[in-house]
Amino acid sequence: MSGQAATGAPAAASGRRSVILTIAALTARGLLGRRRSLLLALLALLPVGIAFLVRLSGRGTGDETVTTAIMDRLIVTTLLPIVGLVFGTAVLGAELEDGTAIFLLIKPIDRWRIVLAKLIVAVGLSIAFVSPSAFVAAAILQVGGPGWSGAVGAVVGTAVGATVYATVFFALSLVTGRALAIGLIYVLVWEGVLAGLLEGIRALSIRQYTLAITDAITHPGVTNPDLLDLPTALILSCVAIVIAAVIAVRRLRSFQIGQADD
Amino acid sequence: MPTPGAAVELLGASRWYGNVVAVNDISFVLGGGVTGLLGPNGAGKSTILHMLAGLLRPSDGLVNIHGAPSWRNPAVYHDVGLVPERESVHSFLTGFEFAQLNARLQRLPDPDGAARRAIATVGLTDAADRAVGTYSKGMRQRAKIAGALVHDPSILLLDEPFNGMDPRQRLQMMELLGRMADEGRVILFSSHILEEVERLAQNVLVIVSGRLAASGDFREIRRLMTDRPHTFTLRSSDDRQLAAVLVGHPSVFGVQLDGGRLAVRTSDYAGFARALPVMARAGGVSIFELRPTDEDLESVFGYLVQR
Repeated sequence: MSGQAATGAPAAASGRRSVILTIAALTARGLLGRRRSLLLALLALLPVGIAFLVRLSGRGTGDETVTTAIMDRLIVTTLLPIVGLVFGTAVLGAELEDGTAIFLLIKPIDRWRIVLAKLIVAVGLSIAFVSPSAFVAAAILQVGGPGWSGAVGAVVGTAVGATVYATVFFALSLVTGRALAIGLIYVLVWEGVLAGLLEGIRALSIRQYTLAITDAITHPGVTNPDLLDLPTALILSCVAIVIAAVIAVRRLRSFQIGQADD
Repeated sequence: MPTPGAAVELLGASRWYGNVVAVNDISFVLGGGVTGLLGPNGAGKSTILHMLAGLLRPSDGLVNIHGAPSWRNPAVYHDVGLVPERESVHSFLTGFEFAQLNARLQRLPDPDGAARRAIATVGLTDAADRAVGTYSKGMRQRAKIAGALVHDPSILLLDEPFNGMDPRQRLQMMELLGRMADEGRVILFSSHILEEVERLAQNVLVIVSGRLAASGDFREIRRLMTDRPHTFTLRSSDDRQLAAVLVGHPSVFGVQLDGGRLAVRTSDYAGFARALPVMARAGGVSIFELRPTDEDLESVFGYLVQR
């Protein structure tokens, strides 16, 4: 080891990119090797399978009840937040829980780089698990008419929604050790019940952002009074992402290991 | 005031959790060499190591690495390697991949070469391509040490590093740490196994109930503990005669003949050492063996814990 002193110096600027990629690759490898990812993949295929069966049965196209059930309730209300919650809380939360995160935290790496690498994985996997499924299901059901607007709206809407969910739940995992439970309460109670009853709460509902963006692209030029308008939904999505990312970086900078029992 | 040039320094450092004080107003400075951090369970050893590693904010006082605070200062990790006690290693990585990961995260220009050297240093080359999940506890511990050594740090912090190692691995690791200390590195390791500390560490920091009970060479510490008697065993040409002579000396307040050996208790280590040959000669007794029985670390530690 004594002859290794020269290697202790930080590498050139090119090494900075590789740190983020190294962390992202490690995180993705760890997550995709877990059984829960396989279950989520099966869950993600569910809307496609149901849409296919519905279409085979002769229903679906232009049937508002069916498209609402699959695109809204199954994909946007159920699949999207679950996937965002699982990946958002697992990318760092699982490593903090099993202790492997310490090997990341005792390295000379700016905390924002760690957060960025983790978010790339959480957001990327969330989009990968939901948006293609939403696209195919919308295409099969011909949501929004015979064109591709419904499928494109589903992809963009779920991609934005996945980004916001994953980022917010990632930040939550750095704020509390009960991120999964609190995230579920947010999805089920806040978005599932309260946002439907109290109009003001919609501005704080990721599901509402997703629905508004999806609808605006699917039905261009048509205003839906029950939904936020597109600019508001996009701005609120960006605000939520930025605030969550800032909180995550601040929390990670001040992260302290659990009480040692020596 | 921080000590200029100190590699590792705690200055009035405390850490509490609510009403529970884990570390209470501890100060010490470490230079090159091996230092053992000794204390019973719950004494505060891991808290001290975690504060030094920047993983815990000191509630009060300073915790510095090369003069800079370790808390919220990732730059210190260029110079520090930490081997945590409990934290698990990514089980899906091979030993080599784990060392390579650490090298990449340290942004070393040749992560593969650095990883190979570190793996070889801890003697894991034969198992380098096996997943860490298949390793024994001792092998996982060595993999963690390889990860901590990969960037050749000048300061190495190890929390119970020998846990799970078999005696041969333990000996090899002690030799490795000894060599690294000889190269001028600062090595601080905690252990509850006194024999490990005694064999490896020139200096000890004894932590009891979150306080620094003693620091320095443990034999010196023992000699300075004048409120405790020192015990010696002697073998001589005439133990009974020697006992009769010794019992009259003011520094001796107890002699015992037991199983062919003479045990002597004295409150004045230096005075007894000077008087013994004189008294033996006066009594016409030849001394064959003189052995201090309570200078081992266990005795020192036992005394300090009871104080």
